[in-house]
Order: sequence, then structure tokens, then C-alpha cells
Amino acid sequence: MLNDTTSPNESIIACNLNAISADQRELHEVLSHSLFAAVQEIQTLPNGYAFRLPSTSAMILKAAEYVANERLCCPFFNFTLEIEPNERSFWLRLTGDEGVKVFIKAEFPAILDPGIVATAGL
Amino acid sequence: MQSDTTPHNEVIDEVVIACNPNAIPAEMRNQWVENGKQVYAAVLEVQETPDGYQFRLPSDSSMLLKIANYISNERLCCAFLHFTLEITPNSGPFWLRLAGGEGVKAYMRSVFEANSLLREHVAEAAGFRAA
Repeated sequence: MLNDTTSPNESIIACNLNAISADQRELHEVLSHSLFAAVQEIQTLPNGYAFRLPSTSAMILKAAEYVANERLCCPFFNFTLEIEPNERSFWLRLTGDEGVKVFIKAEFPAILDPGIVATAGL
Repeated sequence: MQSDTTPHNEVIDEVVIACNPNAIPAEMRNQWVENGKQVYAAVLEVQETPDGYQFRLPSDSSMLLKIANYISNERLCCAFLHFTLEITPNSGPFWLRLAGGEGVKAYMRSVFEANSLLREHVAEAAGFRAA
């Protein structure tokens, strides 16, 4: 994601886009928008959010590519890809320490479907 | 699981555990086999979980893409598997968890023991018998 923020308890949640090359950065932004535009449902977790995505091979690869760069920019995130059996749901979870949830709530709605955001109360 | 490219089934307590490599598009099959071999050869540690196993892997981006590629095909072949890939913060380890219903853990163990997918010392530390 693009910005830095500080949680109420002063833990620093900082993303550094310079952690990836300029070329990669542009692609990463396009990929992020494409990935999160495909989110079908959001669940609130105690320490973050879970995003349900279409359970396709292409989407799994896209999510992995996103995580491969995002983990360099925003190393405070814990990412989990969960692929349920029999081609059921595919979930991408972004979690972390205190402040991560506030960060997601501030940064992610801009790249998500407004209807999904409203339903999730994000 | 990735043992060969021949469909095979195992029935344990009424749970059908079936892997069908033909579910993977033909043009992807060689890549799936190669990716699987590379992923399991890179495993640093295996831990048993209540319903399967988890594998610790080196935390670099190329490995992440390789694992995702493997999962994207393996889930078609072995549809009964539940995959979880955790990328821990601050360049911490990657954990690939494979789990499933009754019989899946025993099936996974038999595949790992029969196919020497893991490095010897990693397999030994996990308590897997050599083939």
C-alpha cells in the first residue's frame, strides 16, 4: 500500500515503496487494484481482515505475485493464502500487530468494490 | 499428492482420497512435477499438525511464486487437500500447510516416504521412514 501511518499506541506501521524497483512499483499498483477489485467478501479478524477471492488458479498466482512485492514494501504484514478443498473458497488474510487493522481500514477501501466495503463495514 | 502422473485412489474409513493428475491441463503437468520437486527439496523443517503437515520454506519471493504455482495445480490434482501458505512478517519463514479430513495425513505420509521428495535429514527429523 502507499502510505505510512502510526497506530494509537505508537507502533509504527510503515510501507516503503522504494523496497521494490520503479518498474515493479507501477506493475504492483496495477496488480493490487486488479486483485482487490476481485474481492467478493471481507471478514473482520481480531488482528486484520480476510478477503475472499475467486477460487481460480489465475487468482492464486495473482495473489502470490502481489504478496511477493507487498511483503517487501510493508514487512509488518502477516499474509496467509488459504485454498480450501474441492475448489471451494480462496481467502487472502492480511494480519499483524496492533495498528495493522487501522492501516488496512485507512488504505484499502479505495481499491475495493464500494458495495463489498459497505457490507463489511470497513 | 505428487508421486507420479498416474491417477490413484485410496479409501480409508469411507473417505475417498483420490489424486488425478489428468485434472491438470496437459501443458502444465511437467511444470507441476518440477515445481513440486523443487518446493519439497527446499523444505527446511516439517512439523506434524492435527490434520496434516506443515513445511517451513525459505522466505524469498521466487520461492513464494513457485509454491503458489505448485498449489494452483496440485489443488486440481488432489482436490481433497486444504492448502494454507503463511508468509510471516519481516522476512520471516514461509509455512506451507497441507491438511485434510480423515486418512489424508496417513496418505501424505505414505507419499513422502515412497517418493523421497524431502531431503534426507529433513525427512528423518520429521520421523519419515526412508523409501
